[in-house]
Amino acid sequence: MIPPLLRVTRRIAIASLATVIVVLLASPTYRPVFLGGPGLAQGALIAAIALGIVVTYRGSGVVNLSNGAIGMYAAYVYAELRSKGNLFLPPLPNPLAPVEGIVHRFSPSRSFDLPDIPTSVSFGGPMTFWPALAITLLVCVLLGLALHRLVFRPLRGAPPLGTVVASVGVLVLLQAVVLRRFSVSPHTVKSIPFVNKTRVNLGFTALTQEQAFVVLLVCALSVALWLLYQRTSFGMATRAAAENERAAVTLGLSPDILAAANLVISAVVTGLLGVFVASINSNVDPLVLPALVVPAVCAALVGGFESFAVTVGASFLLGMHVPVIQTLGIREPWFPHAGMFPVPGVETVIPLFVIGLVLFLRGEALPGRGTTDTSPLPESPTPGRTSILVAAPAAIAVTAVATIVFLSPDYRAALSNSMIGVVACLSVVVITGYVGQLSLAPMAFAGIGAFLVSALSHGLGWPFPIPLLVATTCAGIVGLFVALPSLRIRGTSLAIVTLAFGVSCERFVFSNSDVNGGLDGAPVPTPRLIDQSRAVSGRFLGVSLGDGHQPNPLTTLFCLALASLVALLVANIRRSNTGRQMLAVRSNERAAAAAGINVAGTKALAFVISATIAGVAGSLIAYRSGGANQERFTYMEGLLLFAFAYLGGISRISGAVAGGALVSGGIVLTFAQRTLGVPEEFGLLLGGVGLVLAAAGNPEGIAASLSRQLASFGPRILGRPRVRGGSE
Amino acid sequence: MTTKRLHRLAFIAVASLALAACSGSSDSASSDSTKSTDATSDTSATSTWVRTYTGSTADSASGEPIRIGFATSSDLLPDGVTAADAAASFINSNAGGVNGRPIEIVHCNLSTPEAGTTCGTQFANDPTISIAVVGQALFGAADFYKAVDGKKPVFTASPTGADDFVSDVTTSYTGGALGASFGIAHFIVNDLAAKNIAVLITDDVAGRGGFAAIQPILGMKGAKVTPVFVPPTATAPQVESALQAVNVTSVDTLIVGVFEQGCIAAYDALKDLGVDATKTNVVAVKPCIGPKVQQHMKDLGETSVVPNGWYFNGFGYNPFTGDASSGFDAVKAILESSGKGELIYTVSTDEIVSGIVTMVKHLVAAGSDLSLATLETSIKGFTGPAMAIAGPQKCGASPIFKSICASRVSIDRYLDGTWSTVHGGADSIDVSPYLSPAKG
Repeated sequence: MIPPLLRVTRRIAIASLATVIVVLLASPTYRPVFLGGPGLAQGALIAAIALGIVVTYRGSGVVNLSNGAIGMYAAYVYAELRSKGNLFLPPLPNPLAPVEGIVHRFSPSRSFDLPDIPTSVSFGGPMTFWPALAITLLVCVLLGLALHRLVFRPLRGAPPLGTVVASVGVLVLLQAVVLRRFSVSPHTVKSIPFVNKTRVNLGFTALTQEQAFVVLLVCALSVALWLLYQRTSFGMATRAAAENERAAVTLGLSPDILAAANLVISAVVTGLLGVFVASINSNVDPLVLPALVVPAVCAALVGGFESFAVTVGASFLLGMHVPVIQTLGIREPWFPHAGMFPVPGVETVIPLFVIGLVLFLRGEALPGRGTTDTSPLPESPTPGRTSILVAAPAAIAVTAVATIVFLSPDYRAALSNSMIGVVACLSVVVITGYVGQLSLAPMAFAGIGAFLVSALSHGLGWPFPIPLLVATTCAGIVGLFVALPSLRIRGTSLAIVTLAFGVSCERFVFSNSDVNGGLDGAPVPTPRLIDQSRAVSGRFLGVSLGDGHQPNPLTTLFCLALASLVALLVANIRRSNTGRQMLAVRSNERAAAAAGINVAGTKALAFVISATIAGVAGSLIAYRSGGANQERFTYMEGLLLFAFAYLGGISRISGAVAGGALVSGGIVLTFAQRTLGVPEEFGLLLGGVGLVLAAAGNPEGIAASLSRQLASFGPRILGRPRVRGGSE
Repeated sequence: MTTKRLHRLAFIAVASLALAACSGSSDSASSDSTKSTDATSDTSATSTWVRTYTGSTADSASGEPIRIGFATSSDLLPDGVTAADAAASFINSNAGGVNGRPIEIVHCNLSTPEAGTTCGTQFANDPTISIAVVGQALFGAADFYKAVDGKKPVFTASPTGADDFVSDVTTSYTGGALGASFGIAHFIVNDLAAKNIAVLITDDVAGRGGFAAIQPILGMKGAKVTPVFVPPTATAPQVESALQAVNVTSVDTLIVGVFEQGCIAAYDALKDLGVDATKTNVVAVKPCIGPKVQQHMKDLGETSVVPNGWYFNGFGYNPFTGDASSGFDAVKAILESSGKGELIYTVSTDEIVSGIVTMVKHLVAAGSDLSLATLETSIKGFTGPAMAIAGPQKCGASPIFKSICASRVSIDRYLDGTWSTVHGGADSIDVSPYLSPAKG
């Protein structure tokens, strides 16, 4: 039974949408813009990714955020086959490499050379359209099978957290492979031989043959998919498994095979459309298609992750509204402006609004699945008194002394990056690890903190540390607003909302020249004491402090001190009644409510705390680098941070420390580059591989594994029996 | 798959990947270069030009190298690394290095925002590095400049982002995208006398700032000026819809101020919208003659090598026609000597070769005194002309765009298979009045 308020709101929403469409169609100015080829082509691009997302969700219950990356990968395969006749291969582990590496250690000439794994397979020259397309689709089939076997099958029954992280890992990995082989610059794609750029006038609109072809192809594919899932035994089996996996198993159906088949269909559909859309775009790059996952997920959400027709319709509307927004910005004086120009990124706010509205009206928008197996969220141990009073202070003191006395400049900078990473990861620990809310926008809150620090310190001249305190408080208040959807939704739906929020913040807020300061930038006057460009040295009690090189060790100490303070705060939250309430909400919201816990209040509080902590991380970034720069607060940076937090251990403070060590420019990557000589570009690749494998095999994270190893190592040495469970 | 198996698999995969990396197998996109067999340009003439320009009199280069720190976004734009290495290699092999000492390029990758601090700190702390050169920074430029400020003389070969233009830490001998915009605006107002202008430009800080800077110039004679902002990674439909929004068929002049990918998208969009560049003026920035644009023209079966009828900017010279006296041909020969002659068409590679050779000129002039003060005075006091760049240099003249010393922009047009120079070399457009608002 739908509550009356929701029923009225739904009617108003549908009526408003219909009115907007009628007005656009009636307007001689906006009708050609709305129905034009560019908008339809953009809609086809979104639909390509959205259809794959729906198919994957139907088959395996996974919202695959890497679907855009699959389309991008397929387009690269096709483009390379057409231009050179080469099938590029991902960098594969070479079993001979260790032998060569060891010999090179002892042989300065480095002349010992064992065979390398080839980087591509040549087909003897540029290929024509059909063979190239056939090989590309074969690669898509193999990619779908590999994703199922290696990534999503081990995660069957895992909480949404695991599958979302795994799909982010796949996204990072596919991007890393393409960047390794082709760099970021776009790859040209030859056009489709049987259609060209000649305009076709359909009366109500005009579009090129290519655009018309892709639009028709999307429509045909959606009809084919509808027939497949409604009229065939395979489709009925997939639906049966989606509705009740246990019952499907008792009927002799294999959810595993069904999931594999659906993932393959998804990869082929996305790959096919990716190839065609890249062809009409004439090029493909590693960034554009993966980023379209947000409007694509929005379209899938509107379609309830079930209806192909509604998904395709929503995709086209999301593509067609972009030219309308652009035209409004240029032609209409009432359109909001930043300085002299229309505000950027309005087109990214629309998907966020649609997602918010759909989730508000539907509540839990994703259809539920009956699964045969459910894995609990990772354990979240209580930090012990010994840890808080002895171990942590000792570790902090050792790190502080090392910073001042021993660490080289490279590692001081890396430690600062890691400490900022620890703070940011702690924000994820609170919201996701303790309360189970999948928030993918930590860097959006960090950005809000950073730009506010700039506005308050540079703009208003407020002295340190007042801007830091006010900015973090404001970030917390914004977190409260973002918490509102979480009162009705959770899991993957919330992940989608927060992802859209991250994208909107990046394009709509941080790209606004009123916020980022335009050419003047958004500077932050750093207090001289912690200015990292100072080279500090001196002696204290006969000990040399600092090495006279930058970065300033006091900057690193400042980062360490703030990270320690935030970690202490989080530890105390976990030990308090609030922390126990958070874990109760995470385990079972209904049970928590029955036990008298204010579920909504607990969630909202967690969002506020998490956003405040992220605001601290952003403020730290701003003070350390002397300004707020939008490139640090992109949605992609947010996804990577979430990934590192998960790798480290999402539900424990030590996990945040491990995650901080892994971040870009942090201790681990600096060690890998400076000491082991691992090229920098391998960082992304190793991160992607690590994330996928960790999501599938070690959801508790590195910190928990280390903790277990230590726990079993100690008693073995001391000859005592092992004690299970307990504290962090 | 059990957790144990996954752990084992994870360990093997990560260890093998790491070791594969250590073993240095050369499968990167940037390192698969093959020596071009037709790279037989006149090394002797190039060597003579470079020696004359740098002032180096030594016969050969040997001994302890002089190190130049080179930070660029090499993951993303690997051609910049190739260009810097080609310049260093040529100078060491054919031009006597720096007073007989070879130069060594110390690379640092500005791959992430954090890398700006890392690279800057590395260069600032390394006493053996004499000059810090930025190739093309897509990330971390502000942090880099902050880290090296007051520690090393800094030079930016190809200014790209807003920080490259407004920073007073660095110096640049080209106007980059900003200088190009000023030159194009001047040309459109004074030569084309345009009345209705659309400006296709990237929707980022540099793009919006650049448009704000040129809008008064474009509008000074009453022309209607409309910005068309598109994302830096815009697809053809996005560009087309943006152009459709300004009704591009009604404008008399379109400025294409986007990256190479955007140029391809703009070409396709204009074709789709029926805009004929021989009738509507299309004035584009240098990336629009890039190798990918040329490849796209071939793929479409077009007879023209670059979009027909379009005007293109340069900093004095055109890679298709070349120029011997300015050193532009020498830049081309240096790239050819590394087997990558086609990079002359890639944006920023000629500026990087020119920049490295010009830094060698300053190092030669400094003699044994390679101190910060001496080199900074030499770099900022340079009056030009710089290699392959037209016109005099005057550093510190602009109160806003503090790093920019260059003042000239050239314009060439490609029409029906022929290049014609509209403003080139000595006749190039002087943009110095626009760099200084008090005058402009």
